Amino acid sequence: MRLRLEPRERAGIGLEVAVLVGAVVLSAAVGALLFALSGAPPLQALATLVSEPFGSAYGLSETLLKTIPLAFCALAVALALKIGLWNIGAEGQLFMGAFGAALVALHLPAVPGPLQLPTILLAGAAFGAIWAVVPGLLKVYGGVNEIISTLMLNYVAIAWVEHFVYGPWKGEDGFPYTAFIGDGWQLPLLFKRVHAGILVVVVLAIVLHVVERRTTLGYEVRVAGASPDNARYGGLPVLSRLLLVMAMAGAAAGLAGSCIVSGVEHRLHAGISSGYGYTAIIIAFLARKHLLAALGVSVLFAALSVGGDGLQVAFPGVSSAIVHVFEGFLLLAVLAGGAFTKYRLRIDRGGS
Amino acid sequence: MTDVVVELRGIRKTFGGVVANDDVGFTLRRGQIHALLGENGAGKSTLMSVLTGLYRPDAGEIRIRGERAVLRKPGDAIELGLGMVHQHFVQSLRHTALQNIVLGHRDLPLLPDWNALRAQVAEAAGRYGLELDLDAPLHTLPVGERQKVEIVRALFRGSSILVMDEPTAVLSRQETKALFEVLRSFCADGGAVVFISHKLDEILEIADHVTVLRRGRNAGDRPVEGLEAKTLAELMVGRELDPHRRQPGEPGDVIATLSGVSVIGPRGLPTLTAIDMEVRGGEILGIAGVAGSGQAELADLLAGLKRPSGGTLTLAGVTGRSPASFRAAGVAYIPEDRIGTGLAGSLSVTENLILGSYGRRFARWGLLRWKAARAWATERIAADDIQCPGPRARTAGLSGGNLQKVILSRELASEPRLIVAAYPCRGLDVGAAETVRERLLAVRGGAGGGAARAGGAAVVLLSEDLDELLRLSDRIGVLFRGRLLRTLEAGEATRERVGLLMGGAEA
Repeated sequence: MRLRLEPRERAGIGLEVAVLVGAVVLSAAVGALLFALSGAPPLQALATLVSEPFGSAYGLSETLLKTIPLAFCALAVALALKIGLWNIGAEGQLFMGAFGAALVALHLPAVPGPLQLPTILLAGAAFGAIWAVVPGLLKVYGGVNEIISTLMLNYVAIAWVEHFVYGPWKGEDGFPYTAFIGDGWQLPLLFKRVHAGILVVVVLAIVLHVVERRTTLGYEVRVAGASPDNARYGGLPVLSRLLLVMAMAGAAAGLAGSCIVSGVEHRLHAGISSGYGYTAIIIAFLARKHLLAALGVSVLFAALSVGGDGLQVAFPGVSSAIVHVFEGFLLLAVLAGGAFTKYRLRIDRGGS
Repeated sequence: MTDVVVELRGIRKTFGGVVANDDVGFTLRRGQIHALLGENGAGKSTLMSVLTGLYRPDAGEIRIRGERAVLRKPGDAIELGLGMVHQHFVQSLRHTALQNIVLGHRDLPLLPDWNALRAQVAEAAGRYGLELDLDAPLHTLPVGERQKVEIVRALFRGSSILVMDEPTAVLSRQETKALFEVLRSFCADGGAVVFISHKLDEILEIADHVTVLRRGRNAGDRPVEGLEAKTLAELMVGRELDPHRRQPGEPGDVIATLSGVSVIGPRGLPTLTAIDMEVRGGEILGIAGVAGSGQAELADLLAGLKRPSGGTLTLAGVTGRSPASFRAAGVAYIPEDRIGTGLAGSLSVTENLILGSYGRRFARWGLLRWKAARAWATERIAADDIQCPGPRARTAGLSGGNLQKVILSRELASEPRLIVAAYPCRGLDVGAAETVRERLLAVRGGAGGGAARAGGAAVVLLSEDLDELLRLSDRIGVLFRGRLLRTLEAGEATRERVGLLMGGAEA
């Protein structure tokens, strides 16, 4: 009996999902091994990893809460990837979005009550967009590599926020926090700590997905992403589309920031993100830049994070860093599994 | 018969919905050079991949020296003495010729005795007069030498049957002659060669026997002795070629005017200098010149992808300066670079066909009407005989001739007023090239050319094939170092005059 790989014509969506599920199962097996090595009963530890984020109302709400910024940022990375750009700057765009949200909530008292929520969301989106358009402009007019510029601008954005919370916006008690924003600026809670931002991100993902599949804009972005020379040759407005996509990506990441300020922290400080913008890169990649899939993968990563915290509490010998090993292995497994979507495994019986 | 070394019977192989081989038979005899002729996409490479174990056929049988063979992987074919020399070499450029030759050899020990191997390889090569610097890293060798490395590799593995996939495509005339000598002495020694090609003159020169494939089926099988190139071409294309000189065009209004146009290249040097030129509707203006004389810049200029650094370019109907406004004014461009510029390989055939016209044809309130687009693409595929599994097929999977058909189909669908065609027949086989030429003549219109609409389109044709230029062009302009030396009328243009001008001599 022999195994051979044959090229596939085109992989179905079912196969893509199957590969993802297979990768998760394989990663779970590796995780179990790691748990055993760190002295925790593997099956129980795995059970904790699953039950912690989904098994209780509290866990579920924490998972959904973490999903919101991850999903916004994953959309920001996936959108840019669609036109062939690597947006490593979702983290910085998130910080600028949070800054914009705090700016309007703390310094624009004149906004009437019903307009406060739209204003804070739009402010975050606008600041994130500006932060992403800068590398877009540098790319279009200066040929600057967007991977470097978006990454560098992350540090600028974080330092910018730190400057304000340690300086002019420092709270009255002397800690590096701004004052709390008013009630009208806060997103309503839907379920325990889960705020209405989850509706915003789901609607945004669906709208963007439809735009990509159904509109001329989506088509243009796809062509420019597949082959910039072909797009230019075809007379597509490549540069303006590039800037537009970066603005949309930045706006999505900026919304993550305004949702954190408006829905969770209710003020601005320097610790508002635990690397959401970077995890989002892995999420977008695993989702194969598919916008709806990015939503689902975000839930998975949020669950892993919540599960990791739970593990640390339940089994003192286990570090929560173990979930990062798990995440890394998952990425590898999915990448390797990609071979099955491109090739078909054929089994030849001997002798025939 | 005892001297039959390879026999393929009833071979069938499909990919997705496309039948690449359908009931194909092929018989190779010892001591023979057997040509396998066919257009791009006729199924030659598929058939040979079946023979060398790269693909397994869906049906049919393979007999090697009378024994039925099941080839599961290339290694099985190698063991049976089949050596394949690919068109695109599979080599490691950083390693030496010797290392490449012994690479993958079955009995290679962990620490090979290089001196003994070198002697063995040199012996295998010397038998057929192949001389090779075995210790030179491959990246230092010209392409002809690199091909020798492939041949020696096959010989070193003890192949008695060589399959050569378009071996002369990359060779100069001298290198081709040397290769033919090697192949002849290989056959005289009891070997057999399958020679895949679509160059008719070479087949007549080297082959003993020829099998012609057309659209995945056998279209002819005969000894080469006494055959004529014309017969071969007809077998391959399946219809009689029109040998007549084209009818002259009927030049109409001026469509494009260049006066004193210059382009400065990326390193600050002029690539085009003071070009004065007029193109009229209903004529084909051929552009001749040795490679790198400014043709690429001229084509990009006319298509709006480049702007002149000096002088003026006036195109009827063009209002803006973007490629889009050139397109809107009826400029079509068949670019030199098909995948990359002309097509986005990873997108579907539909997505590629609607490029440039989707806004006009399939957009409503910013939405793309995919259903209509796919229906239209299906029509284009049928009308222009594009062979692909369907409108959703990935474009990169199409063969070279079909890629060009997609580009032509799209560019000519919008009834353009000016067609800029850069090397439109390069790399295409006789039949596909003929189709391209006929279509260019048809859009030009004029006496005898089927197009009935008043005032044909203007065609600017860049080509390195002088016969093609002389046959199609109403006028021929010759570029030399970025200058337009002269523009000759069809009547005064001869191979000699154009050739002299291309070399910079005033004629």
